[in-house]
Amino acid sequence: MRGYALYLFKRLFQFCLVVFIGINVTYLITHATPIDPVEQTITAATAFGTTSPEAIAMMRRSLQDLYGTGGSGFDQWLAFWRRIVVGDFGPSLSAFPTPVSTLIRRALPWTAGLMLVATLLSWGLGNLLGGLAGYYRRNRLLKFAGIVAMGVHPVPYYIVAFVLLIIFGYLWPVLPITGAYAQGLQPGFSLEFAGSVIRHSLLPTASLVLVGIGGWFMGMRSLVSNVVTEDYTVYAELAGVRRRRILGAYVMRNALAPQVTGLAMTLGAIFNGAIITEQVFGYPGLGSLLVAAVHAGDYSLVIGVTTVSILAVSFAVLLVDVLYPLLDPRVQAR
Amino acid sequence: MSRKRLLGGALLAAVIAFALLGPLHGADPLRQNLSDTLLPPGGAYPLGTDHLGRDLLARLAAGARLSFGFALLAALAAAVPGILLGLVAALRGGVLERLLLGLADAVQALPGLLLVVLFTAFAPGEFLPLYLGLALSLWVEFFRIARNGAAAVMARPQVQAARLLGFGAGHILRRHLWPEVAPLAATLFAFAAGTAVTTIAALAFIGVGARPPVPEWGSMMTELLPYYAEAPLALLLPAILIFTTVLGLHLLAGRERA
Repeated sequence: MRGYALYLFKRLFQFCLVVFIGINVTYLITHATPIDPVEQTITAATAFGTTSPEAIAMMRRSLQDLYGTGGSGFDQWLAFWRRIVVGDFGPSLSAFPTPVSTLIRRALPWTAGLMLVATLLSWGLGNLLGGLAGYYRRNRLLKFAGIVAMGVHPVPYYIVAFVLLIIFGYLWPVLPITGAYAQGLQPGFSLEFAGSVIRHSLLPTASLVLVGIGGWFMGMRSLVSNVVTEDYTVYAELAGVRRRRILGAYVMRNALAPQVTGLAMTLGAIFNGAIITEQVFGYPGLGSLLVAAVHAGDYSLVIGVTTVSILAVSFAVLLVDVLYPLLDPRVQAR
Repeated sequence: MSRKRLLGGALLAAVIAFALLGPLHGADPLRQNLSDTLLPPGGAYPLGTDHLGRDLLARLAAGARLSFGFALLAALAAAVPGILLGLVAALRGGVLERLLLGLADAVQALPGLLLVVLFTAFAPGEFLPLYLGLALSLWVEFFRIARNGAAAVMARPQVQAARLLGFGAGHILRRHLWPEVAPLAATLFAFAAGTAVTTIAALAFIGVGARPPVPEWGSMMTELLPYYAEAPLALLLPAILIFTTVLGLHLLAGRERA
């Protein structure tokens, strides 16, 4: 148990370090842009009519205070971190004066829900089918599934999304193609609202699962076909253990361990998917927010979204790493 | 050379031939002709025209040259620093190695596409930030592969013997590390180029990559999406080209992603 505690501590430290470096990289990149949020806001506020120079000077001072851009480079960096720690990203430039954290809080549930469901669904389905295909290698249907997976895998995501969009949005218009719920509905815990949310999420989820499933399928199939030839599997077969039990307890469980690590890595790429998916289907999540922020040069919003995604991704990876020794007791928690 | 790789090579060669032979047709990819919009293939336009009456063959071929050039440069920009740092990390070890590994972890926690989008905020529509962003997100994998491969080799007795005999780092790098790392890096290079091809098209789609009227596959698809019913082929062709290129690169890479 002490070993596990040490492992936990090390992983926690690593988590903090990664988050720290990641946020600093974002800070560096955004602060190297020529966009100055203070001057932009002043320009926007004083575009009409005449404002006295004293008023502008005062406005500049309070805005610098608001955005934390006064003082030397090091002072700015310190001020930035002092605010990040308490979750204050300052006001959004494009939606001034709405705080960035409000915008993020509004968008986060959509992205998290959509992407988590889609990722877990493709992981589960891909592993299940891949495992079956690796075990029952003669099965025609599973062989065919393998060929389809090989073929769909290299198709870029947006092509699949476009195809689904054209088929279910235009040629056979049964599903809504944009938004997260029907317009005019009041968000809340009503049956109607929940149904609308599910209907609107069907196409994005289907596109993500279609693209995501192939990799898991092929990975699991090759893993399983390795485990099948292991001594313990052969022994179990000779001993007359029922096939379903062999498949579940002997083969799948052993082959699944590397796939769990893979899942952690994929969670890291979840926001890549979110950016394009949400753009294609007009989903009001973090990806759409980020693209809008980049277009508007709204760098406090960019930093906010990036920070949230770094935190979420690192936390997901941490969680998988922490749970891994429980799943596979052979792994010595180091 | 396996059958898969041959197939991959053939697919790529076909796209390259298309890119190089396209200009022989002689049409200007930017020239509009508003009386000839959305024509089917035939006549003066072997593959038809788009919604502004531009020659699709010329545009697709120009897009192929652009995508290939971009993919090659972006993959190189990621591979060279990634491999070098990986080899140095394995050779030197110690604090430097730990520092680089930490940095790699941190960069990996930043979603790749997000990095690219961040960089495009500098100069929208230009290519330099795209290279920088892609290189910054892709170098990690090259770094990992180079370091892990090299570290495994460094532990072998023949390398330890070579070091004890006083051979320098240059010799070990050339004779022991590089032959081990090179094939892995080549595989990864093909995958990275494939990622670059899909990324540039995706970026055009979310409006931060190549901008119209640049003949780029992704932006062609975006422009033609509203005309899917009138000219399905015009929308399909860039998609097919992207798919063929990526499939070719993945098959050429051979093994599963490391």
